[in-house]
This record gives sequence, structure tokens and C-alpha cells, in this order.
Amino acid sequence: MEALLCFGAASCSIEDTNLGAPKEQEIYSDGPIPWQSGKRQLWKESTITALFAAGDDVGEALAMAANSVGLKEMPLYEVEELEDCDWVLEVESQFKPVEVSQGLWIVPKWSQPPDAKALNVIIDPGLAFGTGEHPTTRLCLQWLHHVVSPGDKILDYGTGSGILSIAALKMGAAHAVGVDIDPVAISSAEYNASLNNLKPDTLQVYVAPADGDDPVPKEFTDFDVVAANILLNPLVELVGRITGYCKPGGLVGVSGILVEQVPQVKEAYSKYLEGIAVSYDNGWACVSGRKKRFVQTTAETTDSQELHS
Amino acid sequence: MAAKQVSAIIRLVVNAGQAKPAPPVGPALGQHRLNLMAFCKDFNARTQSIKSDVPMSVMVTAYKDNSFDFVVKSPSTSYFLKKAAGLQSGGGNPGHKVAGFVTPKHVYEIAKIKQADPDCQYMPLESICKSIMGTARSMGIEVRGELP
Repeated sequence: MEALLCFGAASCSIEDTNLGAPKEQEIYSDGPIPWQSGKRQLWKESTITALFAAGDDVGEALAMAANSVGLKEMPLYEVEELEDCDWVLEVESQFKPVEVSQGLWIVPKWSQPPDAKALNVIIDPGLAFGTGEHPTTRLCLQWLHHVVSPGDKILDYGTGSGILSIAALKMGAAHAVGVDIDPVAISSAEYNASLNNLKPDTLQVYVAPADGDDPVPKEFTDFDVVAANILLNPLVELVGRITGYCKPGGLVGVSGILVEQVPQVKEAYSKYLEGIAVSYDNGWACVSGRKKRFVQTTAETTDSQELHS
Repeated sequence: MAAKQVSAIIRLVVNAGQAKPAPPVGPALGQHRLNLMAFCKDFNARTQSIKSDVPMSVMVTAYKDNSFDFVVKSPSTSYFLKKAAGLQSGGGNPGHKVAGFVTPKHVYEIAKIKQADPDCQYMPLESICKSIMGTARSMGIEVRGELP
């Protein structure tokens, strides 16, 4: 497989040739298969499937790869052209309704809500992130379920499918603003808002420009609740901006971070937030806190702030 | 963790912090019915400490129940060698034409990074260096200079 990758394959996978047939061999693994070939258990007969970009000379790549690993003759192979297809849609059929918090369900648009009386958020994710299945989405939704009060103004930084904003609006928030670097998120979030019978303009979504300029229009400030489910690096780089959107005394929750990344996030955010709490789910974490009323910039004053709060 | 039945082993290269559901990730994992979004989020989170657009080697173990595990390795030796030699692609005629060159210090630095890999931890630095020099030779890259 390594040889194939060197000679131009975009990716390779290996599986039992006899998949589905009576001769199928079962192998089990406790965790990821180790890299070293010595320790790796493989099937007696394996099929390697390699994906190449359209237009690549598969025969030549295969010949060079076989040669480089010392195979005396070319292995049997067939070339099949794959249609361009929406792989996310293919996988989506696995997406089922899920109860992320007591009485809060995320339901794919093609399913019926299992409990019609519960708070149901209908989602069609497409290529944007946020089906409710990921631990970070769950953590944020559970946090929102605890903190959102009727009439709140929400900011969802890294909105993806809009799932957090829409859930918050259904929990009684008055207005939500969503931001994402991916334009697909914009259309996905707006579409999902319409699936949930929300009045237009209750959710407004903006693209964050590549040059790093502030994506949120100036008319929106002093949010009651700010949620940011993205990744460690942007969370730490943008800590000033993300907490800046929040009104003093308002609540900020961030996720998309692994448990081992929590100390870094806490360090960055403790300058702006007090009463920091961390929740965990399956190796992922959500850090939340209340925006300090006065943010001191000198180190000594911040320390005494923390002592008094 | 209970052992699960393996359905396939998938090997691909993805730039650190930049996994998206588009190719190459899309077809490679989608074909095996794995949750693309979960992989992208997980992979991106785990590669936050690495400069983005460094190509990482990933080995995904797909289980019959459509769940998966994966291991991320540092970029391929050939990537480091190409960068060190300032090349866009490996030599077309290894053994005959020299495409570029690197110094022994480059080899040593690359070996140190590789030693952190799950694979190489038991290998002495010298063996890793020899293996890197072998890869260099196969790419048409010459190692020039005195060993420090």
C-alpha cells in the first residue's frame, strides 16, 4: 500500500477478498491496527483498492509499485471508474434521531421525531458539520439547554449546519447570529432554519472572510450567550474576539477540543471568563464560563480578580 | 475496549488540520460507509499542534459496524526529503540522474522526527538514518557532505 501511495494513489484500502462469501475470514482488532507489518494481522486473501485521480496512468503506477516492493509479476487488477458522488449523502443514511439531552432530540429531516412533544431540532446537514452525533455537538447542546433563557441573543461562532443556533432558538432564544469560514455552512444553516419553522431573520448567518476581518456586523453586540464549537487553534487565537462579542456577565461556551487541549483553552479564556467549568464526553471537552465584568490587562490585577470572584 | 471485527484498513494522506469531506477523504472513507464528519473533526483536532498543510500519513481501521479508529503518523520521509532538497517532486530517474541533494544534518533531523513515530521507536537512530538515505537514493536525491 505504501508503494502505491508513493506512485500516485490518493488513498489505498485493504480488505478481505472474500467479503460476503462463505470463505470470508474474520479478523478482530482491539483498537486501531498497528502500523508495523509484523504485528498486523491480515486476511489470507486480501484485495487492495487504490483510488487514483481521474487521468492518472493506473497501469504504470501499479507496475512501478509492484516492482518497488519486489513482486515478480503484476498482481491481478481491474480498473473501475468511480462516478463523482456526494460521499456525505452516502453515509447520511446512517443518521438517525438522537436524544442529546433530556427532552431534546436532533432529528434528520427524513425521519419522524420519536417524541412529538419533545424539543425537536430538524437537521439536514449536507456538507456542513453538525448532525448532533458528535460528542462536541452533544456537549454544546447540553450546555445550551442549561443556560439559554427566553429572549436571549445567541452568537454561534463556527455554525456549520446551524444546529446550535437553531436548538437555542427553539429553547426560547429571541435571535441568533451564525458565523462560519465555510460558505456551505451558510446555505446549510439557513436551510435548516427553514426546516424548523423559524421566522426568517431570527437566524442570520455570515461568512468569516479569509483576511481575518470581523465577520459579525457592527449592529450585533452584547450577546447573552456565545457558543464556539471549532478547533483548538482558532479558539485560542480568537479568544479576544469570541469573548468580546459577549456582554459582561453573559455566558461563553467553547468546544471542538480534546481533553488534553483543555489546559491551553482554560489558560487563554481565564483572562476573560470567570467560574470556568469543563464538561467531558468520550475524550472531548467543552469549556464554559461567565464573561468578567472588568477585564484587566495587567497580570497582577487579573490574579486579584480571580481571588475575589 | 472489546475487540471489533475489522472490515478494512485504509491508508491515506491528509494535510494537518485540513480534513474535509471532499476527495481524497470523501471517497476513501465514504466507500466504507464511515462517518466523514466525525473523522474530519477528530483528525483536525488531533493535528492542531502541527503546521497546517503538512501532509500527514493516516491509517484508518474500519470496523464492520461502521465505526473506526485511526492512527496519524508524521509526514512521509519523501516529503521531508523533498522539502529539504527544495524539490517539487522526486527524481524521475533515480540511480542515473541526481534530482537534488541534502546534507547529513538534514538526514539526522528527519530521523529524529521519525523516531517519535509509533513504528520507529525501537529503532536506533543510525538505522533510521540508513533507511532515510535509502529513500533518498530511490528518489534521486544525493546525500552530500561530511557526517558531523
